[in-house]
Amino acid sequence: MIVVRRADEIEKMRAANRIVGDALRNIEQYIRPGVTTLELNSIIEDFILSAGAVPSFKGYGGFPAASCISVDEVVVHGIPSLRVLKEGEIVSIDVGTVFRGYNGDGARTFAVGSISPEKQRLIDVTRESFFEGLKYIKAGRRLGDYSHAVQAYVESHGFSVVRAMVGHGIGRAMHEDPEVPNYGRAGSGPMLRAGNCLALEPMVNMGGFSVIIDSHDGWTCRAADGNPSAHYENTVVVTDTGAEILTL
Amino acid sequence: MTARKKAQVKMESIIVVSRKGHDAGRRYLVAAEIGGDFILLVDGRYRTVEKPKLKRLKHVKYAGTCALDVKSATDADIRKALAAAQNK
Repeated sequence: MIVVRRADEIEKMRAANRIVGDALRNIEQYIRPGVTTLELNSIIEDFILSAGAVPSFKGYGGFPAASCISVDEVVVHGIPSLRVLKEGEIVSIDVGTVFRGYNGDGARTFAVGSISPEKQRLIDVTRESFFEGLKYIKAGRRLGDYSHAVQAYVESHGFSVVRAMVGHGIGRAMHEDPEVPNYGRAGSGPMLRAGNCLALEPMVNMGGFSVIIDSHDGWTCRAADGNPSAHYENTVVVTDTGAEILTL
Repeated sequence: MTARKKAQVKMESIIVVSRKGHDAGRRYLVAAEIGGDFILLVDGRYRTVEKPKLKRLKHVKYAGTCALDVKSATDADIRKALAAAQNK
């Protein structure tokens, strides 16, 4: 069942997601060669707690950290560790909050120092694909319109969309209906209604779309061919005229 | 946090080759990561599920993946998976 949020609930979603947006803006200054992903996670966790929110990822399904930090070929759900970031890598940071009972979720991919033009293009196309898909988020449209637009944009640039991992509805729980794939047929899927809250998150691989999950931790999702991957996510609320982005 | 599509996501195991020590050249599956610097390795023969090998990450080399969930695998499964990966 896809929930339609009331105005007072949407206000609480705004608050939870504002903290996510602020946390992502804040972490960028700390990303440099030599820092560990565990340090970055600590900064993010402290930021969320100081804002009066709770990091929603910690303990979710057993996930051990406040944020997912995924380097190069790791698509999503990278577990923060003593892994040191190196010049030329790209790092995707996914942050979630719970504030006054409502969830926020957002992600960005950052460059570590100076990166190759191809990796920069991957980051840019991933971000742009979100906004391309966003044009089709509006009450009365089908979710597949968004999915198709993202896929078409990404594939027109020679990259591929990850299919095994999807965006999602969000609200009182982190993951609610519907699933929001980043590929599909226009005109398919559920009809959007004003007040639906969605976490839209294109995940784009430089190589093929297949991914694998590391079985030893059950979380780390990486591109099967070892090529880099980028991630861009915002939580939005559907309106009659389009969508309001809550995490920007 | 991204949701997993309610369909197939392959659970795979990472294969590594030992670069240092008396077991140099031997292939293992990664059973667990410890502290970001050490990993537990199994090969189903000399290093079993009951008695994995503890090794430093820098003393192994990544050698691909195989379609096996090492967490629920038996020693026989591990041996078969490594042999199949070797013959690819």
